[in-house]
Amino acid sequence: MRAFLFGLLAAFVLAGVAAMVLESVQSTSDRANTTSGVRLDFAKDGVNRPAPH
Amino acid sequence: MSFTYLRRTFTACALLLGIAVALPAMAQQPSRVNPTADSVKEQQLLDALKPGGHQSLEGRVSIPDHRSATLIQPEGRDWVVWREKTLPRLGAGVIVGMIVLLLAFFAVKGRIKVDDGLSGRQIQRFNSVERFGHWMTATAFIVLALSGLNVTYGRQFLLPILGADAFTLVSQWAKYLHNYMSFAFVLGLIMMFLQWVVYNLPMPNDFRWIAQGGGIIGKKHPPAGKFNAGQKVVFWVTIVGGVLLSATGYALMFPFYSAPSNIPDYTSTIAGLQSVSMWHGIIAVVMIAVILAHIYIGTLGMQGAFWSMGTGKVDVNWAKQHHSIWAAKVIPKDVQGKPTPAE
Repeated sequence: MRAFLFGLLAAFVLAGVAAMVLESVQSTSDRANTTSGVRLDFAKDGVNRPAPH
Repeated sequence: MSFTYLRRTFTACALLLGIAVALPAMAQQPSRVNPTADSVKEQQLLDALKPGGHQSLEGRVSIPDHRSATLIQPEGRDWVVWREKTLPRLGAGVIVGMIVLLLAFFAVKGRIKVDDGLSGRQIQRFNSVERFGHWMTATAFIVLALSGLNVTYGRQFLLPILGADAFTLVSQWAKYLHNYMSFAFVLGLIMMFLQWVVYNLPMPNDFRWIAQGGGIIGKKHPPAGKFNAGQKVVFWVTIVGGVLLSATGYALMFPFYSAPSNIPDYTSTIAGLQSVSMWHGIIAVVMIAVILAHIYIGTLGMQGAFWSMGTGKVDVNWAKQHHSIWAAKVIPKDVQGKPTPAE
């Protein structure tokens, strides 16, 4: 039954790794999905856009 | 020219000038009658959506999200009806129907036993890597199925039991698990496909197996290789259904990312994502029903079947009865333990 336990554990470990990677990418990305579905490019759409000189 | 005449003339001119200045300004003042009232009458908006008219009613917005300009999208109403009524009924019919069918089958047929009894000799059926891949996929599927069912039935059944706070917490974690457990499911699918696709290609004996009802219906045990026709059906439903579930699931998980140009772009529009959501639900319901049957026959329904995935070893008599072609190939070299005649 070790294969069963390893399989069970691996599923949750993989889910945890995927969560860490995707949440990390999401939090550091310069793009974001808004709740209404649009993808904002922060630099292009105004938020965090470099101030004009 | 009298003073009175001059005064009257001046007053008339001033009055005319005042009227001339005031008229355009008066024209711009809001009035009780809205000249554009017709354009916002609901019936007229609905008329515009009649067959041959517009797909949706859209206005103009100045914010970056141009999709927020959509005022009415009729497919959205269809999707809500599907989400709130059709899918729960379909799911209940298919899943509960399968459970009832399995219970009825068990009541009539009972547990399928090894006709000659267990021999005590065992042979290796699945190695540890095969079992690992199976159980990883199974774990992921069960979590995905339960968390997915919560999306459809949670508010109806769990919310009254758990209360709002607990249900919110459960649903939040279920959503996280549903998203992230998908990666283990996909990896497991790939492992199972690579390991077992060769054994699951259709063979001539599969048709004979189906014609004889797989030995479950009736008393004959038709010959089968490592996987019989029923297991092959489960395999292909799992692989094809799993791929479709993953594709539709990731489209919903990463909405509004443009799809490759050579396939229909379902992910960049609301209507497309609604369609994807519907298919995700249909495929999930079918897969849950099929896997319930798989779980039944692998545990309660058949003596000796569970250990093929439990320890990886099966009884020789079980192998001869259910997978005679495969057994004939492997028994001579893989017999383990001392032969023990059946009692």
